[in-house]
Amino acid sequence: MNTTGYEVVIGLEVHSQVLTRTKQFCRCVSESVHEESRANINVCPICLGHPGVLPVLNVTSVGKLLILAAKLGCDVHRRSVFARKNYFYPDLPKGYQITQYDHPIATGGVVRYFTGGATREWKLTRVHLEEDTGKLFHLPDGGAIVDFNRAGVPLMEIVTEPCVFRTDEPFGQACVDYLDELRLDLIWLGVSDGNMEEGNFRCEPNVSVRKAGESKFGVKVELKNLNSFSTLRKALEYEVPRQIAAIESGERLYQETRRWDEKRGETATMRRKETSDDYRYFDEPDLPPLVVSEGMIEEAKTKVRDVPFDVTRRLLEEYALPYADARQIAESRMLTEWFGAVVSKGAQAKTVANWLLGEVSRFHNLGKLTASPDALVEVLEALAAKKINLSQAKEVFERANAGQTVDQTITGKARIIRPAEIIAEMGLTRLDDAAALEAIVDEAIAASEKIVADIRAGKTAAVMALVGAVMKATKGSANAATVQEIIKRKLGVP
Amino acid sequence: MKDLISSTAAKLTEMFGRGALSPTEFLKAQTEFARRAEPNVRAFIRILDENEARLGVADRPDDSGARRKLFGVPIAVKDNLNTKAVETTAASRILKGYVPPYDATVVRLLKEAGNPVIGKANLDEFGMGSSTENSAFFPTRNPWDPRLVPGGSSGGSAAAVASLQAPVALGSDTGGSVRLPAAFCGIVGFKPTYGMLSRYGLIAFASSMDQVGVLARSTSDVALAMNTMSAPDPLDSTCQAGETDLFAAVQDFARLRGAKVGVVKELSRPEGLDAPVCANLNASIDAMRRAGIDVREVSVPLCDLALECYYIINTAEASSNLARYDGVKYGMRMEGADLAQGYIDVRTRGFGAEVKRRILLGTYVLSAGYFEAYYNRARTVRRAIKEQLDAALAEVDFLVSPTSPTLPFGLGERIDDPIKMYLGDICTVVVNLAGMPGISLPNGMSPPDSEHPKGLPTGLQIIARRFDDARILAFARFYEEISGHGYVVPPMVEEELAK
Repeated sequence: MNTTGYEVVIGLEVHSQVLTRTKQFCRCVSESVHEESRANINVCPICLGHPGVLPVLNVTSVGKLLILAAKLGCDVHRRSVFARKNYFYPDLPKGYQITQYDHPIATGGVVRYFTGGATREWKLTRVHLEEDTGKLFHLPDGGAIVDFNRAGVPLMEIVTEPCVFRTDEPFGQACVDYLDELRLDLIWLGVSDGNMEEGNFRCEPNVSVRKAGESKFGVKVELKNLNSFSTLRKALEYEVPRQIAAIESGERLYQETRRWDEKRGETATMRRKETSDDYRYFDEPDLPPLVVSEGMIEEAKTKVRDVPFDVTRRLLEEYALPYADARQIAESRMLTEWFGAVVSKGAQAKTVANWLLGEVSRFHNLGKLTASPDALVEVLEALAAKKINLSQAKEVFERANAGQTVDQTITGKARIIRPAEIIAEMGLTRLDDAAALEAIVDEAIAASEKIVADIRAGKTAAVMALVGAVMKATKGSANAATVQEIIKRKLGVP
Repeated sequence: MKDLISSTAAKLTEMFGRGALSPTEFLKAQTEFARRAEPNVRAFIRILDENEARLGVADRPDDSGARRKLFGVPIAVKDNLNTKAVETTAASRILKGYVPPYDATVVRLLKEAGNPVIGKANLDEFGMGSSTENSAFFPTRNPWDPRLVPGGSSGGSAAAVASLQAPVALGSDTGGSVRLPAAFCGIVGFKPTYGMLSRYGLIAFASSMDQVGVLARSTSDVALAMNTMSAPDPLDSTCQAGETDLFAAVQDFARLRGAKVGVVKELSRPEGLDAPVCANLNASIDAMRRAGIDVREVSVPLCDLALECYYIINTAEASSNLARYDGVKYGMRMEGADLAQGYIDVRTRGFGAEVKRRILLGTYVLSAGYFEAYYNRARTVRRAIKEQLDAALAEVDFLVSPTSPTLPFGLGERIDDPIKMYLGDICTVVVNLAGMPGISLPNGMSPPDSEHPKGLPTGLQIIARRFDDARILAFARFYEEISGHGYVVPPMVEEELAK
């Protein structure tokens, strides 16, 4: 359908489990447990909402949030307030969720991400702390088990500002790219494990459309039940044309929550809001205001480090790598480290990238990477000096990798076998020994009268036959180009 | 043993300490008397048998700290304080059958100091009420006249102490729930500064004002109990207890030198008080003046808005605090498949009328569209009241007023008129709004009549600056000395004791 003349407005709300040993307000273990048989193993009177219990804030979660806030440039409020969000549901033990409302710990900030190979920024509204709810297991007989293992697990809510897209922009992909980048930020900073399968990273987008140029927002729809990035993209890509079609045909749009129906490939109404939900928020009287000290902020700053976005950008800007290469390296801590170590020794960036994404990744994925970046540096130096050719280089690297942990010395101590030793052992050092090569070429010429005659008669292609003979004689170790050069010179071929 | 039943806790703990009396022996005698007196008073939801009473209770005095504690003395515990493995109901049907898996921190500290729990005292359901008539099980009687209420909501605790069923009781005070019944029953009732005692294990009513309190027959006994319970608690983020030795403090009048007292004008207007209450207040003031204390009148104008402010805030917090009673996890069970109907059934059957009234009011004042007009405005007024009280207490060291504007009223007299019932809290709520310590002391009796040969008790309320708990107790003890007033055995109890 024709969607021109419209704009898409999207806001994203992410709930990410904070990486802590214990829950947000009690000392129960905070971990993901999914088996029904292990329901309610990490519970205590506090997270079960027994009469008389009180919450005590897990300060570690505050520290983690501050790291993220420092990275994303959020304004950290020295004094923030916890609030109660009141509603009834069996998975909510206290009948309210402790969260932050009008005084969150952090506001503002920006998530930088790559989409379509270019950088883009998505502004944040706020980042705050709260607790997760439990979970219902529905039983075949129609009953249900309430599992409170998740109840009280620390969550970070990261809310974006609405972002406006043209309808012909890949807005769905932009959302996925934003989420992917944010997830990596969280993982790299040690703030969350970002595990989507475990439900530790969840996103609820809200989307509306409006005529291009209008300043008022359209009717907002919240999307739920999106358990992967691809369903999120599909749901958004379904929802936008649906809303535009409704407007075009004069239908009424409702402010509502819609769920993604994977089987039908469409969104469907879950809950309609004639008025906004009334959660009767008020300040949590059981917790004093959260006061963040200068020291906590400073400590968080020391824990800020590069995330894949930073690495990607550097690889693009400083090393001119192709985006795909840069991204792949940046998304692996190991490859990023190797890249830095190898390039710093003077290796050419693109070559290093090829090796990292080729050989190094191959061994790594097999769980057999034992070589150090130094080994690759030596191999690449030998290659650059034309001591070895590419296929030999690969063989040397493979053997260096395999020999890494081999212990064959007399002393019994582990010894690192260096590529230079392998090259020597393989007899590959003669390669740039011009005198040695000339002698072998002379032998080949002497042994191939017929071929030499053909070449002299003008069949220059026959040079390759001589090259082959030399290669055979050197067990493939000679540099073919050098050999060809010598042959041509000796036989006077132009 | 008869003498010992009416003895102070200070004396008992001293005897236990030097081995002149065994706590087990005394517990037996005290429990026996409590059971005998119970039918006339009905102070307890449950009197514990010896094994239950001694569950987790230390055998030896705790000599870890320098402070003298309350070793060996049996305690009556208001039934909104959790006792491990002993049913705790908050006098609500919705918690019938609830057996807590843990002790409230204050209960744990008492047990560790060697104090058995004699019984779980009756209360207004969840602490909501001023007469103990809102208990889902039965009303408690005033030991001075079983036709009168003992006050509330810690009516069971107060009646138990006044009728010699326990030397000391724990209560909780959200708007006067320790002080009012103390006044009605003629004993001492202390509400410490908000944060002096841990609230962990106190079944929440209005969290920003709830505070555990102590009821006893003398200020010294209160101080001993406070010494046992006042400790920082990592389980309560609002607890800021210090390590002051309050028992030593109450013996030390030197710290009161030059103390000034202000009578709160708005809480002491003669036209708002029963005549005996007014007369005894004036007598108290005279006694202080005779002792050389500078007593003056101070004005705290916003006291006139305190009751409205208090009832908005307490209902708002209660509506949220009581949301957890949904029939899913403990207590009354939800039946049937329809979730919404399940909630409605459980909460309709489980809560009493006053609790429902407060949940409805609280839900209303927090709702979108009403939040600003009610809850937020009440918060603003609360801050202003606090400031006015702070200002008054910058001028004087202590504020005084009657604890209750009236004498104990009759059972059933106010139960159908909530506003009239709420008015009984008029003098006490300001203390909770400001988080200050407050104490009610016996300050005389009403004139005797044919039905009350000794008259009925009245109470004097003293208020102090936040965390001035040592000084307020010292002043209370000083008042006991100079006025000669204190606990008097009610005639009904005397009879029981004589049997």
